Amino acid sequence: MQKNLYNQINAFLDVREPEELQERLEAATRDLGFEHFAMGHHVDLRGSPEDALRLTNYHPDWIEKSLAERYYSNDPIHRASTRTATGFFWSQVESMIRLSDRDRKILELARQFGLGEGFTVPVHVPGEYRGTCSFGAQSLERLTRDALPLATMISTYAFEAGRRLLRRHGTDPLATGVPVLTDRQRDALVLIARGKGDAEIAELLGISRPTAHEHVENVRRLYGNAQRPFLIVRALFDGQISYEEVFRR
Amino acid sequence: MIQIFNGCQPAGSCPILDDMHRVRKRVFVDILKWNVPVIAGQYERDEFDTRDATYLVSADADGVHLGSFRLLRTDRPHLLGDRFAFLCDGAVPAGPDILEITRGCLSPDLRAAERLRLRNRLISAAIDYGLAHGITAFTCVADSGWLGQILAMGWDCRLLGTPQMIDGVATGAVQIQLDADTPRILAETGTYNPSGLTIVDKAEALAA
Repeated sequence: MQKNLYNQINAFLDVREPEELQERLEAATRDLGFEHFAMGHHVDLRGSPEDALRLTNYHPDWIEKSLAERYYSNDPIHRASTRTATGFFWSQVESMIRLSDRDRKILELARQFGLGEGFTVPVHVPGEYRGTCSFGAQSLERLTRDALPLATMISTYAFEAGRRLLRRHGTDPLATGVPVLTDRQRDALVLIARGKGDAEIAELLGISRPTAHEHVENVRRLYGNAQRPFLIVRALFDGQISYEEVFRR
Repeated sequence: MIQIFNGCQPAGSCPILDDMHRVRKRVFVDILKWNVPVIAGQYERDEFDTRDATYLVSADADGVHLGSFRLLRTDRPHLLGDRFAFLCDGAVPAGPDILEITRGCLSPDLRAAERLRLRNRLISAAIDYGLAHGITAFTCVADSGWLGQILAMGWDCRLLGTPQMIDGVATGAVQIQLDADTPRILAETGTYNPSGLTIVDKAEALAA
């Protein structure tokens, strides 16, 4: 089985129906030596936007509980995934982000649903919501050889399979997921995220203050008339701008 | 504008290629910390930068390098065949109709939106160049991030063997199909735009 696992990864590109993607992910998860998987874009899961992907075989009670208690809204694993470009074990999260009591409680509860250990792969293509693919199990003792690079590539291919499914069904994340901004609007947005007002944005971009104001207003409008704090969160969240850009000097 | 250069030139004889080797040093050595040779302290240049290499280079009006790809013949020494054959389960795909894409490199000074546009222009140029030269596939050693981008372009891109962790990053060898349909498929994702390359290389020029 192991020898052919990469062929199974290639076969993700032949997926034509969502059910098939779910089945292939389940099979690949087992072959890696994990038990559960969850792949998805990081959007508000209750809203379930049509252009976001989400597939999982987590225990239904755990899904229900995390939705009801809104664990997803500040999930420590998702938070850690924004700090790295490569996959990480859940046991490493403590060294990546500061864990609150609530975080520890979430991780402890997950353990009761067969999610004691796991490996999460951040998946991010420019112009698209941030996403992750996670593989979990009660323990890691059954992990196959090369499980980590295989899990990483499975995530990459599974997301692409999902993207192609969405395109086939008429909702293209590349076209509808993230507002399309002009270069100037993006520059303005990065400066907004750095806490700059219209006057400073005008000065830094070498444009007039009314023009700067216009850029800011257009960006807000494209994000559904979002106020500045929410706008920044949304734009960081959907990958429009990155932490690196905001904090780079 | 994108220009095609057939064969590597000695340092000092071609300003655009010199600049490309300088930016490659910044990207691959300074930023990505790859363990690759640096010549004269400023040029990233390895044993595959020979007269057999082809370069697609985008430069601005002043001849400053913005981005580039290196194309290597797979029937000659190349990265996948000579260094990363362990990423292939079977024989390394090789032949006159297969080119290896390596050293994809965009200037770190560009903004994100410009990078994406430039990347797409270079990819379009590689497609146009390949189709004009009877190429049926590209091969590539790709880490998961780059592979994700290639896939999101809409390309049919298959792993040739079990991926491995290299310097902490999942890396695999892939084969990318190229045929008459490729421009249409990659245009649907917004990647492909006709590059307007007029392909005249030395061999054709001599034959003409």
